[in-house]
Amino acid sequence: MIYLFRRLLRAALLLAGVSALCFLFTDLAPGSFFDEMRLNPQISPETIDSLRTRYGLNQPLPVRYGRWMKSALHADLGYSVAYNMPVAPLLWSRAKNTLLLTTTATILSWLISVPLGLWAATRRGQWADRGITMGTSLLVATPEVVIAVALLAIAARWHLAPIGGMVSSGFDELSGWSKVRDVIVHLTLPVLILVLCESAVIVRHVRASVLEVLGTSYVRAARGLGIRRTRLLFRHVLPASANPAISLFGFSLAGLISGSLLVEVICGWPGLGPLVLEATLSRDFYVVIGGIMLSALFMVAGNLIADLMLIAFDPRIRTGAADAS
Amino acid sequence: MQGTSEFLLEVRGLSVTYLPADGIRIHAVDDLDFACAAGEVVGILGESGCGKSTLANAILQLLPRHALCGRGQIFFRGNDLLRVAEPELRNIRGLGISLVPQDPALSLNPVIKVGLQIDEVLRAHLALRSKERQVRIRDLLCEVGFDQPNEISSAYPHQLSGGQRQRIVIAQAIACKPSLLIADEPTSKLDAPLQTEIIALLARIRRDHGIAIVIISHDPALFAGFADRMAVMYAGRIVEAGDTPRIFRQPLHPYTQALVQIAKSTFNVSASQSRRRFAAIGGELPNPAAFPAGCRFHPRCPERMEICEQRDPQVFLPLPLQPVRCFKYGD
Amino acid sequence: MSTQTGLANPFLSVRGLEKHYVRGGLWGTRVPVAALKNIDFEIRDGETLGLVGESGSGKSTLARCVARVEKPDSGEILIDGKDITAKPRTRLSSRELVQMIFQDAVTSINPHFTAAQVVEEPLLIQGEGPQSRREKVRTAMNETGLPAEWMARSAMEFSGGQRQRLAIARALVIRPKLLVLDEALTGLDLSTQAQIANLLLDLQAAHALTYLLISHDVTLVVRMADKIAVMASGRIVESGPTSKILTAPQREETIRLLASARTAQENFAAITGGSE
Repeated sequence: MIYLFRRLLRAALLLAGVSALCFLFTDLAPGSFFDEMRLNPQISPETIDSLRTRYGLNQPLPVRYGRWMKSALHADLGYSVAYNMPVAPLLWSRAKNTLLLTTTATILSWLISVPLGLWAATRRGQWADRGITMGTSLLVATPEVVIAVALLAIAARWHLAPIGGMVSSGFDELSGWSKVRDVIVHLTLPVLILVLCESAVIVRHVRASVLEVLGTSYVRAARGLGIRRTRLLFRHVLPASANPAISLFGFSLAGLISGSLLVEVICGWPGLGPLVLEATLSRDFYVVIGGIMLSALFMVAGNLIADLMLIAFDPRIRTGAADAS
Repeated sequence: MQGTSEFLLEVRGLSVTYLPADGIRIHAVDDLDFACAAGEVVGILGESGCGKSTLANAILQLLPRHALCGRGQIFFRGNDLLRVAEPELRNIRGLGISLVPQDPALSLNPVIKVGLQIDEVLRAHLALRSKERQVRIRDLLCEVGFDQPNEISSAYPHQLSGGQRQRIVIAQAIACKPSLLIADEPTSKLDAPLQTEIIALLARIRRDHGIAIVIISHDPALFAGFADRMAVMYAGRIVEAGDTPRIFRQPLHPYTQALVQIAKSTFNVSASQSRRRFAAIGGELPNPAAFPAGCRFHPRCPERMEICEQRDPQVFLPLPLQPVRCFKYGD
Repeated sequence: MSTQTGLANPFLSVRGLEKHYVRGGLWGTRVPVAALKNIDFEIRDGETLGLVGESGSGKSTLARCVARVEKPDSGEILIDGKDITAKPRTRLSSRELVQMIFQDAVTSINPHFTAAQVVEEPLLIQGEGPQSRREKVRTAMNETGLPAEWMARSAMEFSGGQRQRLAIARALVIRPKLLVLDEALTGLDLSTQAQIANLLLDLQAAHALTYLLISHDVTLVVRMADKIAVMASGRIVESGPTSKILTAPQREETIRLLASARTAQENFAAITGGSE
């Protein structure tokens, strides 16, 4: 229990630190939202200044930071000058879309990768294994961008899937089930890209870990006692090879918000990624901060959950591996 | 070559060769003959690298993929294990023959409670209900010497001491009442007083259940008072075999003679001994990838003759029931 | 052989040595565990002191403190009468440097090193040049029975007994006076153990070495040590010349250790029809 509290405290401190750095760097970046407006001769400087005052952007940095912190603790993340609405609901509406995408992709990735990695390890050196190893090597080596654009091109060429947006144009007129189908159809491409990239990594780690366990004396001893293959694999090998996979799972969780930025932008998926990108380019101060903090929150939470899972699943870590002999 | 055997376990002319990736063949076991009758305790005395672990693993067909079991037969209850299909082998492992592997620290799954690991063996072979299995596990733990079976049952291997882990591994091995136990160096990782305890445990198990035991060790003292018969292994071959008392009192092969001499000289806790040199054999075990021509022991043998450098000795029988591979006793 | 009179300083003197470990679990509490309590002993030049005791009695901890691998919490270590407890390892002379040989040569030797690399490590630390290093490595390997041609062989290719010889060569290469043998003969085959034990005895005679021999195997220690100290729960409970310990043990722990060794001997003698 003490451990949990200590970790939570550390996490909170970490987030505070990230927020401070965020503020600092965003402020240091040259330019502000109103620069474009300044170039417009029809808007007077006084209007701009009054806008700035209205949004509180003329105050010194520490003051702004302090005010932001206070309101952040009340879940008020400031105001977006570009969208003319509070940041929090804006972020959330987009984050929902991102989470839909990434959660689907993550679940599918893990469902595919673990059996695949396990299978490859048990067929070591044979064609199945070699094929999987080569395939994953290729995927890992190829940048996500290339995979995304390639799939996009294929989909466009052969009209396999819609290549942009989350919904079709006549969405609101559709019935309930058709709406769901529409979203699923639009999900196909981005999810495919994400799954390909993530699975490759997971498969390799699972395969390596399982291979290592398969070569241990205790697995051979269990074989020697007549334990059947399937049971051996699932009840003995898999639990013992879980550690690296659990760490990876933590990374998966950590990346639920931030891992899909590229794909969202390329596929036109209306998620957090494009929003934050746009906000960064137009210096929409509080949106940027809000987006980064949300990302950081998921990162910290994901890692914490992974550590807790390790403790829960590995008795050596849980009870302290001090050797009693 | 068909045939059968009246022994519980009989190995005839077994050869095991390793073919690792770099291509150099290693003849770990070469034309080996060995037998164990029901209820008997037979010891295999040999040092690291002589192929004893290979032999132990070969009997249950647990060798790695790059190991080839060449000619030879391994008879268990009259059936040749080398010609038996995998499903039937699985029925024999743990139920007919159990292997007590070498290092208990490495032979237990680190993430499963030890009680469950014993349970796994029961589930694999016996059709018992959950409650019945629990009872059996508790009985087994008591039998191998635990006072608090419930506590031990829910412990993980890393929470137990070396001696305790060894007992768990033995409990796993006898869980389904096999007819034969193969104990590969059961005590070499343990302190001296624990060694005596584990041997006593094995002796008790043999007495209570009539299980035959093949015990493999480099320490001759283990066999004294425990093994009925002994076989001495060197460089992949059995070089001498016979009743334990005979082997110790009247060793015939120079290697056996040397080992017994060393053991005697070591086991001497008397006041006049400090700083006296030990009896020893010069040289090392030959490299299994490149055996010397002729007798494999001849480079280290104090009694080597000319013929030893030229030909490999076959088995002679100078005394009844004590075969020996040495040209001292014939040619 | 000692060339000093009985009143001269012993080579190694340990006084009041103490060491605590702190055990802590994940969830907070830290429990201090006393590994060594008030240890006093001496070893004279050229002598072998055997340290026996059950697992957990603190033998290894003491060995590591003497070899300066660990720092004791209190107490003094004197060599030739001079307190070296506070001296950093880098300032110790050859004579004061205590080398240690461990039980498992497999794990204390980097398998990817060549034999020469393994043996020359202490020389590297002392900053010796390549030429003199090569010479000393050759000498050390010859002394431990390893052919000099094997200098370039990878440590992986050496057998268990050969690796233990490498470990001994590595320890000898800087010409120390005192060697700590921490279960150095444990886990070896019987004949290998006999060979290595003989090697150690020969080296001791040839170079007037002093040994601190730690082992759980009482029969071995009795055969190789001039003096024996019995440890239990972090303390030395009894010590004295080997012959005296054997014939007139005082403490219960000593009697127990000797009894189990004697039983083993008796069992063996029974089957072999008499001992040597």
